[in-house]
Amino acid sequence: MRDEKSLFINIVALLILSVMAFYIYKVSIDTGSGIKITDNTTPQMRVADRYLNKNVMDGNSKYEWGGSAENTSANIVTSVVVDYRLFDTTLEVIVLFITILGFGFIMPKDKRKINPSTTILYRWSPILMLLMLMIGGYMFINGHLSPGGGFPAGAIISTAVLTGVLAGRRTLNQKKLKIIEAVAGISIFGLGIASYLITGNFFQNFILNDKIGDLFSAGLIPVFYGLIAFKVAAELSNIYFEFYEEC
Amino acid sequence: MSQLFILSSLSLVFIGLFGVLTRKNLIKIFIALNIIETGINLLLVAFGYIENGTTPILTSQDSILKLTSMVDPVPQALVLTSIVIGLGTTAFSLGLAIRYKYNHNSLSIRASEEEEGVKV
Repeated sequence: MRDEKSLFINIVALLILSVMAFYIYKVSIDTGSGIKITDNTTPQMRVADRYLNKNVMDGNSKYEWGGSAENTSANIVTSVVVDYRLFDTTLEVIVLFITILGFGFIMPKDKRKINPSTTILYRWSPILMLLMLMIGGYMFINGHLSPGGGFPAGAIISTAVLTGVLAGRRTLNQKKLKIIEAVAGISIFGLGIASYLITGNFFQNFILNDKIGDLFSAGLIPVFYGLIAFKVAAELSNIYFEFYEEC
Repeated sequence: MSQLFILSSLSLVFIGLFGVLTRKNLIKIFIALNIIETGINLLLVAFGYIENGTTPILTSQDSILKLTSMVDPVPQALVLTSIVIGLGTTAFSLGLAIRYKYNHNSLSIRASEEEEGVKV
């Protein structure tokens, strides 16, 4: 890393990048016919409206609008993520799974030296872990009512596992994590197949007629978010274990 | 307000590009890539922004009437995808950095040339 702090290279890069940034800024605030952020002043110009009213199917298509996808979830973002785009969400989880698979191939398998934790972290880690597990559980249970959901809840729960790893406490091992991940993943696709058998559409919400705003509402959305939270938590904890190579 | 969003996301993207172009430490390059990703996420969320908008959550009986004053939920749902994929790629690239350090005993991107004695 010799010429990382070389003045000439930095000045040349700054000049080129500032010219590019100025040009892109001038283009983006231009009032031409391109994409403009200020377009969404009326509801008809918004992305959501175009998304909902897009027409990609002709009259002969056998796919039909079910009519009752989002009438029970209070959080509209959750409706979009879990009702309309559940295929995308499950495939994101599979992308995380493939990341773990790649980790197993590229990480060197020799023993690394690990510094033992201090007494303060060792004694305080169970309290911190309890608080993190509570917040994570609240987030995926209330994902359809308040900001939050499966992915942040999984990240918080895996942070609890990370605290245990850093403190040197034995919490879980990789075998249990793999079992949790497999059960959650199979349950997601099993629910999808069940909804295909019940309603005729893959991943369609088949528990309807709930009262909006209740804790037990929105049909399958809290179930899917709980499963996604456990799968993401298991995968992220697996990453931490791969980095630590212990426990 | 939208100009502020464009300016801040552009400046984040170009700070990240500057880091990618000039740094030689792998970890610093990954941090710069994450800064670029943050700028793009900010721009995506800004596409759904409206003045004095509220969160897209139905909290009370009459909030269904105020749907037009809520910010756009679709870009927020799309950013979730981008964040998760960014996390996956960052974790994988850090694993590759560990492998690189194991092989070359250095984190510089010119490590293989320095070993062979090439003048850089």
